[in-house]
Amino acid sequence: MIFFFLLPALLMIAIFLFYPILRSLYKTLFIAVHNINPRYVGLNNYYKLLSDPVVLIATKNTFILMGAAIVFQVGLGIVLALLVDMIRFGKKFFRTVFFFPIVMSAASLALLFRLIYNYDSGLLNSLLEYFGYQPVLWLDAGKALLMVMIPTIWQYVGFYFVIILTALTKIPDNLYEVADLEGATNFQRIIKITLPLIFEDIKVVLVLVITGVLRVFDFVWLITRGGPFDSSQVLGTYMYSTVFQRRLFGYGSTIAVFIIILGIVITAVTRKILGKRSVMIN
Amino acid sequence: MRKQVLLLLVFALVFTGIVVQAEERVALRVVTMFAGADAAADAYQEAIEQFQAANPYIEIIDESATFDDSVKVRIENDFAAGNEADITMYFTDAMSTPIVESGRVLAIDQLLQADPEWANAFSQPALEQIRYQDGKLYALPITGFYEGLILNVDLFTRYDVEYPASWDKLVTAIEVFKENDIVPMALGLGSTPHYQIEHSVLKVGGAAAHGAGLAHGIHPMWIEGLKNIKELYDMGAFQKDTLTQGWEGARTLFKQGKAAMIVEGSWAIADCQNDGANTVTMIAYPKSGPLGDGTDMIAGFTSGMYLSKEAYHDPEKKEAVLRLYKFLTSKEFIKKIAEANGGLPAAKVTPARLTQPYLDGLAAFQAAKHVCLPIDAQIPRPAWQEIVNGIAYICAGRKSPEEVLTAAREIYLEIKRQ
Repeated sequence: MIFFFLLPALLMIAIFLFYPILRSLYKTLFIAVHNINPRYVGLNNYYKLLSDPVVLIATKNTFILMGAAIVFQVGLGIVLALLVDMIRFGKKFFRTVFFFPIVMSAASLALLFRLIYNYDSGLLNSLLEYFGYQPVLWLDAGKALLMVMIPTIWQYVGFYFVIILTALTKIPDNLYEVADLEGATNFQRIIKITLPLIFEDIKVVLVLVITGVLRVFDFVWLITRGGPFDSSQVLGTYMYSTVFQRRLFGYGSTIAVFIIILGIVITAVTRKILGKRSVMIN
Repeated sequence: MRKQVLLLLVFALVFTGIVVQAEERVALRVVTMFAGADAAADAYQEAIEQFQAANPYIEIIDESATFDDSVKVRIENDFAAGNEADITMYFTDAMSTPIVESGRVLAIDQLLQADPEWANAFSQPALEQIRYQDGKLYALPITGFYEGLILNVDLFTRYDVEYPASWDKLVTAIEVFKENDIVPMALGLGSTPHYQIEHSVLKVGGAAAHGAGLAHGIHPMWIEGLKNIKELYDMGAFQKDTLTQGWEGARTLFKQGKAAMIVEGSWAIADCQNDGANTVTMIAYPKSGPLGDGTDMIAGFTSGMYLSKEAYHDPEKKEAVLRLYKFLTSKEFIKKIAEANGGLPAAKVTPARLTQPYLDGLAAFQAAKHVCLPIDAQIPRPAWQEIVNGIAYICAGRKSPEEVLTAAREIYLEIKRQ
């Protein structure tokens, strides 16, 4: 009986997720400009993918973004959650404030950051000029990736902070009371009790961060469009520009399939590395 | 007497029933680019409301939108999937391939022949310009455009700079504006160098070179044209962050009075005036070198109204869709749109109430020795996008124009094998 209740959801996922994925997989075998008159080319799109220098740059940038997201989104999320968990008053206030960027549209935040980075009359350059410094080209090839990483990472810190904070509430107080009686310092409490007990949640957060990075699009597209010279290109934006600007549907689908494969491989490797190191609370 | 009254009543009831049945509501989906910040958006809305008031049985589901890349792809995919609107305004140049090849739009020739009054209202050159490669008309033109150099007259007056009618004057203008911390030319080199590419190739190589395409190799003047953009970039003609800017950023800079010139089309004049904050004019882009011509302009008709074959052959929709289609391609509608956006009317009408910048632009258009369609109207989109993406690389010296054009031609040849 329960099986029938699951069917509608399964059907929706099959129609709107698995069918498009299979369709994309099929399209990778064709050259289809404007999505019409496809010509079968076998695995040519995959050979092209392997020799495409922009795919290499986009993959490298995606990994850089992933590393930064793991360090800053998960790291800051944990630090902020631990700090907020320690305070007696204002927990709700900090939870709301840190979570707030999540409810804002990524597109509007990206446009806001675009204005902040603008060379002419941007916020940063206006401040620099006010203090007597020369304006800076914030979105040049050397800094563009960093500049798009800042809002991309910043927006989701609050999301992971809330997940970790919720996990912290599951830890029984008596464990900390015993630690206090044993004379443990705050640092020891965190290392020996808190982190091991929320490790399962951290693992989930890590998987979410990794898969989330593979979907990054809006901030990069709206701030730099992957430029200049593809220096801030990520796989999501390259796939979009291949399909929507260059109208190469077959090759765009190949990039999409590559993203899916990459996501599966990285998630599997992450789970393998992290293993089953969780601690059960009895 | 009573019988006669009763009979009359019955007759009236039956007649009313027939009329009500005959005027059953028909819903028609329409897609145009007259939306958002488009200068003709209000005029279009007004016309649609007039049409609906006169034809209450037709419900118009207006899906008009600003045509960014995602909307264009959505329209193309709608045709590929058989989900197209009943009437669609879309491009008639190289971008028309997915629409026409879908086999879902009606060839209009016979309809036009059957209605000489409707047909004769169109400007013949406009019709010829949007004729498909198989010799048939699949769309009817509404509005055309001309492109050129839009100048901020206030800045030219303030700094006593002569209008750049020649290359030397353009260089002088660039120098003067740079000295005064004004961006000489606003341009989004990063994502929309389109108009600059067209003008640089046309004004360096001339009309024949501009129309050479990629079929017979790479025209040397295309290489020189792209080098000309780098020359301007090295000169500091564009804003500092041009490599990550698009047309929106460039236009904002111009609208704010921080840039003196912008290469744009007639559709942008209204926006560039920024509600009267800027006094602007449009001139032909100056020539560079002996082969270009100072008067030549990029202009023409590259869009039109398509009629869905399915809607036309649907007995319940046929009359209504044809009525709306004729309305949207009537000379009255075309005149209304031309008066709103200052573009070239596709019918034999004279737009009234045009302001000075439009009159200047039209005068430049009429004085042009050659009128050319944009390069992207002539070559397939993937090849064109390769050139567009390559401009930032060329300007920064990371790729040569030859490399970029060779890559574009390879894509062109690959597509032609399709």
